[in-house]
Amino acid sequence: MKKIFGAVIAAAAVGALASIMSSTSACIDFNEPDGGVRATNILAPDQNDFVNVSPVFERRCGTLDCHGQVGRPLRIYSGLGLRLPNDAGNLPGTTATTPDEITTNYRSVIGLEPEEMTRVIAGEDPPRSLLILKKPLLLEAHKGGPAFAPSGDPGETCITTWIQGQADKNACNQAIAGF
Amino acid sequence: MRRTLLVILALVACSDPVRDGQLSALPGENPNIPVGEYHRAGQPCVLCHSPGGPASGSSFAVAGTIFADPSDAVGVDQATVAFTDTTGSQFTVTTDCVGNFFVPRPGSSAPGPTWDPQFPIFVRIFKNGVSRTMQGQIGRERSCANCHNDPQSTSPEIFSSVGHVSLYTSNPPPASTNCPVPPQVQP
Repeated sequence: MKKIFGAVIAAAAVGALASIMSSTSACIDFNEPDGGVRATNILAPDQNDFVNVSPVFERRCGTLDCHGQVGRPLRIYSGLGLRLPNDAGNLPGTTATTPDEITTNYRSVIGLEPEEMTRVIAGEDPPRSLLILKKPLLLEAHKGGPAFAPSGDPGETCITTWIQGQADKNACNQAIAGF
Repeated sequence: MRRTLLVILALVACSDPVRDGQLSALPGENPNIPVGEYHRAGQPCVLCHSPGGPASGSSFAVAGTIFADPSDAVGVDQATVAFTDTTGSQFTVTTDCVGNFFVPRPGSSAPGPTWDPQFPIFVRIFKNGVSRTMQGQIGRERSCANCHNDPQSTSPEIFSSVGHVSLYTSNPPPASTNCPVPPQVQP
């Protein structure tokens, strides 16, 4: 008799819990402005100008043994490294980085720390507060070591000027010379 | 019981699940090739030959295999592999008859001069006037075969493999005939 009573109590508890959960989820209104996809509104550097900056990420960060791997954060696609899945026969080392790959790299860079990027673009934090600069400058632990010189690296100038409004093309070109 | 538990904890503490997974994925030793400079051509050498690895005593700074052409895994004998690291330090090493080469780390029991490169490093291979330069830099990987693995990307699912390192693009010269082991990787 005790066993039956216990089972009834347990079943009632599970039912009550399920009822509470379903009514809770029914009440939540995510207010999704784009019709179903939850999104964070952010401020971001210019996407068109990123075409000047992407080669710096590709050559200095995106080798196959570093950020050119599908399993790593800040995944970078490039002509010499990891290719975006495609039907055009673009394989590593065969063709130049495609516009789709540059767009995907832009999303990787922006999506790494969207809130912090917003604060930087708004002028509340300096560019060096972003991981995309802190890591290569070794201001924060970086498995790949120092990818940029501690000061005056054209790679940092390229990224910083892009964030601040317009990428310094000379710096961007200098940053990939020899790489 | 307590001692057994301590032993188990010690074993667990020393284990690197990433390395263990990579090691278990490797093909086994070829029974016709003794463990030594000719073994495991085309495999990621530094996986074992590194601190913490099963061959940590003979640890390498960089190591790999140079094959003749992209389609066949036949090693190139006496090819020179020339490295330059980010500080400008340079180092060259020569392949053996199966195409294997290794750069011992300082303190390693492996024979030959040692080198402790600062990444990124750049690399060029050459022999008898034929030369190939790697287009990108090596960011931090010490085993060539971790990126230069077979098969080369040919399917829509794989877009990261560049195939094994090869010196010639076509018509390679004949393989070494003085090699104590077959210079071609056996499937």
